[in-house]
Amino acid sequence: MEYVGLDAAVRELFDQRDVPQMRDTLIERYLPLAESLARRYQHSGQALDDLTQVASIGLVKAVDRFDPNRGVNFESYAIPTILGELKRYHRDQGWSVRMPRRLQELTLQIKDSIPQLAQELGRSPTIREIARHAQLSDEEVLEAMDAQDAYASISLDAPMDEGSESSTLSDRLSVENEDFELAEQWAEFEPHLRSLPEREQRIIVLRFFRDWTQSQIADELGISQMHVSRLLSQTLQKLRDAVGSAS
Amino acid sequence: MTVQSVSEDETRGGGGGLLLSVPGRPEAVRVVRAVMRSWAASASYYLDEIDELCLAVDEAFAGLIATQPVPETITIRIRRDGGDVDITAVRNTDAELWPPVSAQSALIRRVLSTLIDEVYFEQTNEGPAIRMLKHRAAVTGKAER
Repeated sequence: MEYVGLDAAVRELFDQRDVPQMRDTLIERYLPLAESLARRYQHSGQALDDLTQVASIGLVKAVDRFDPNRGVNFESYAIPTILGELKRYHRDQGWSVRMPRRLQELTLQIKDSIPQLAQELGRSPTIREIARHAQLSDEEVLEAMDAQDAYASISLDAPMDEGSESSTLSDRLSVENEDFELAEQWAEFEPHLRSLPEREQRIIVLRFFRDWTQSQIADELGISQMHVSRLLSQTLQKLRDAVGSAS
Repeated sequence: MTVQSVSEDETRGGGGGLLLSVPGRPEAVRVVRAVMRSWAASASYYLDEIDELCLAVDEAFAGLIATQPVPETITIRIRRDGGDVDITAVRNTDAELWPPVSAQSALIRRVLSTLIDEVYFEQTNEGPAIRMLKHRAAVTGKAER
């Protein structure tokens, strides 16, 4: 087959991309391109790991969809595809905007109240209990929690906000092979789970394989329950995207 | 985008409920989470229960918009059924295949089955739906309700 704008080696790889090994070689070959585009979005405060993962999903889509017969080189096709993936992620996360000061203050107030109340009550508190403890209205507590959803720029790579300042979640988490072996019902997702950073695998394992509550995970990791909730939400979204783009 | 309180009759008994319609776009999930959280707070749910319900509606919403063709609107009904919560999320557009059989939908089922006690992918008169029933955990302390 004669392709315009592609060198012979790349042509051969695209000809044989149905073979997993050839497809992987193509992806690896262009990974530096995805990483370079991911770095363009670093200024927005998002973690480079997350951006690189998103850019890689765009790269995989580009490799799978590229039509070499169109007479353009692969980069011309891949760059807008990868940037499109990054822009969509950036927009959906809404991470580029700073949280207003008032909401930051509300968030800090409830962040202190929740673990204190959980310890006193021996269970997770209600919103009303948090409001009374923090001397806020129920609506203010809800507003702060919604703001956390909207503005969350939490990164799994960020230093932990509780416990040791120098440690990150990844330092505290590890996944054991037995976890995967025990979870037969998740077997079909194992390759996708294993492709997540190890710390994210751990959060999923504790909640969904071992059936720990969010509070138990928070205690184990020395972070807040709200933090666990956001980590779970973000990791599940990544996993859904990875499974979706592979199928 | 609309949010509407629903009377006991309209929600087939129980403690009243809520009807929410949002565009079938990923960014609308934040509104769904906020409404779910607000409803659960007013029903005096504990924070960990609220977080689980928010994760569950995230997953159900993702499951409904992931199936082609993309729906214009997702409608979510939340109602109390005794001590339990009954959530139904419906897409306004028929799906190519319902229940879906993709790997992504299998993942969503797996996640929901951990978060929620009973999960049903249903074909309703209004369109393809995911119905979720969450039983309340035993109360371990006296809450301010």
